[in-house]
Amino acid sequence: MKRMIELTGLYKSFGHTVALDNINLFLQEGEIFGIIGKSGAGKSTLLRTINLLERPDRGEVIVDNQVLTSLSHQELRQARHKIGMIFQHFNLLHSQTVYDNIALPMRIQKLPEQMIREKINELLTLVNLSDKQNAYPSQLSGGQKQRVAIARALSCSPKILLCDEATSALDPESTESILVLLKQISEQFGITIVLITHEMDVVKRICHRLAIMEQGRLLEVNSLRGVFENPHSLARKMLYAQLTPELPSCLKRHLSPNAQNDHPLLRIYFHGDTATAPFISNTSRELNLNINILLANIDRVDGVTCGVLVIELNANPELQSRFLMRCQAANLIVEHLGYVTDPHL
Amino acid sequence: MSLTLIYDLGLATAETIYMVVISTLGAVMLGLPLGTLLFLSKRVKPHPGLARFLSAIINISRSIPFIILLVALIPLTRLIVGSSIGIHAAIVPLIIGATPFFARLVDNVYQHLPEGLIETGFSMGTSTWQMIRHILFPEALSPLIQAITVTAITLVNYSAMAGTVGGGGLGDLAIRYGYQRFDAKVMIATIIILIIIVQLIQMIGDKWSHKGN
Repeated sequence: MKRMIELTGLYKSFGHTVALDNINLFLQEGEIFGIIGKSGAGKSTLLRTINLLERPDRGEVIVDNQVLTSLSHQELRQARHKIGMIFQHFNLLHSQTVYDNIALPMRIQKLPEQMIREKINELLTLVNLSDKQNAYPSQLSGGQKQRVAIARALSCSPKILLCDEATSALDPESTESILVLLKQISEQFGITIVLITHEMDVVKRICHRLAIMEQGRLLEVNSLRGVFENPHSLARKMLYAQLTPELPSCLKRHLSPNAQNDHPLLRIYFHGDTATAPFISNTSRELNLNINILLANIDRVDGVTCGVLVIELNANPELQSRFLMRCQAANLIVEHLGYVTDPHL
Repeated sequence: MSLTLIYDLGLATAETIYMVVISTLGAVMLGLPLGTLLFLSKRVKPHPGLARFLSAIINISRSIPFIILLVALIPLTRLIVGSSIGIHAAIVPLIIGATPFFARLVDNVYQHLPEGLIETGFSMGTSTWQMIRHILFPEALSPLIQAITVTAITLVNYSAMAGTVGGGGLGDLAIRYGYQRFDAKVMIATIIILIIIVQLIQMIGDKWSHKGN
């Protein structure tokens, strides 16, 4: 596989704030790569260095074997035609129709109108807006506006699509449809997609690989599958955190961290094969142990099944430690939440 | 009202309209590039030195009251038109007075465009000229027309002042009859005509600005 984007030794500061701190990142052609982090983590700056909307103070940006950081203005403008970008707030021209909005990058490249027309018809079919070509952006829903923006970004047949919080302003339904469209574009055209988001859910649904960013640094770069193999993975923690439902308040009230009784409350994380094995019922039978399942959730991430269980045991300390040993042997992660002080809730 | 007076009123109205139309055109032709350049030097192709310089020029010329500018510019007017009285002579200070005003309005219009538009333009690989032609102008067209309307109405006001130093037009007439001869009828007639002119300019401006949207 070919390297499409190579970022080496990027450093950028705004005054005293360091936005990028020694970033090294290599992206393959055709992959969907997600960068996740809180606002202010520097992910937006990082995304903008790929097309040099932000120029790093130090370091090199190479896109498709072209060193962007050493291009002239004129050459950089040419290179940008091959890097599409979409934004959180769509950034469409409100004075122009859907058709003219999509035509804009091609008119800037001075393509003949006949060719533009054909390309737009193709794109409108792709984003499923053929009936809206004469509408103005104010007549469209958020999801439709983002579809227009995607069509516009694809109009110059780019090799890369940069997505800046592309679904953050959308409702869940539109988010879903945009993510499906991005996935389709990646598969159909082999375009490399880089997206930044603060939602793990977006990364989980379409990305092949992800990076976690904080204070200008990449804390972790991993494939979505690889995340589960690494017990110290921050991404795994985030995935599980997203999976775990909040404990109901009635349960929290009767929870004591140091009561040391026979009713411990445990949270168990599992993934892969362990998720499908009947661990609880086997253990219950073999140890003659009462296990009370209070909450459970399960999900599939890039083909890996993962889940969370919150259980209450009814066991003396000796039985408790035997249970924990079994969990360890089965590669489950156990988190001790406390002891239930009123087992009759 | 005597026939001569009606003739005088008609002539003065025509003169006012002429001064307003020509000086509005002049202010737009000079102020649009000036305001656009100011905005470009701030946001599109940052050049802090140029931005400060343009901003200073605009502020300085805007801080001079028009009536003073009118007098101060007499030598320049004489140089350009060959005379310092008459409606042609009035047009020089009118344009010079309205240009920085309009330029500032133009800069404001661009600044109120959505934040991400310029970045979007850059991401498509636009040149500075393409940014103006394909993004700034089309998106700003409607508020730009409103800014021209405001400028034209300000020029109706300025043209009356220009009249007082021998420029002709409705201002000149109102001063001569209304103030110097205590003829209230003429005064009221000029006020009514001025109100009608301003209303018309606003109506036309609103209509065009709506079309541009």
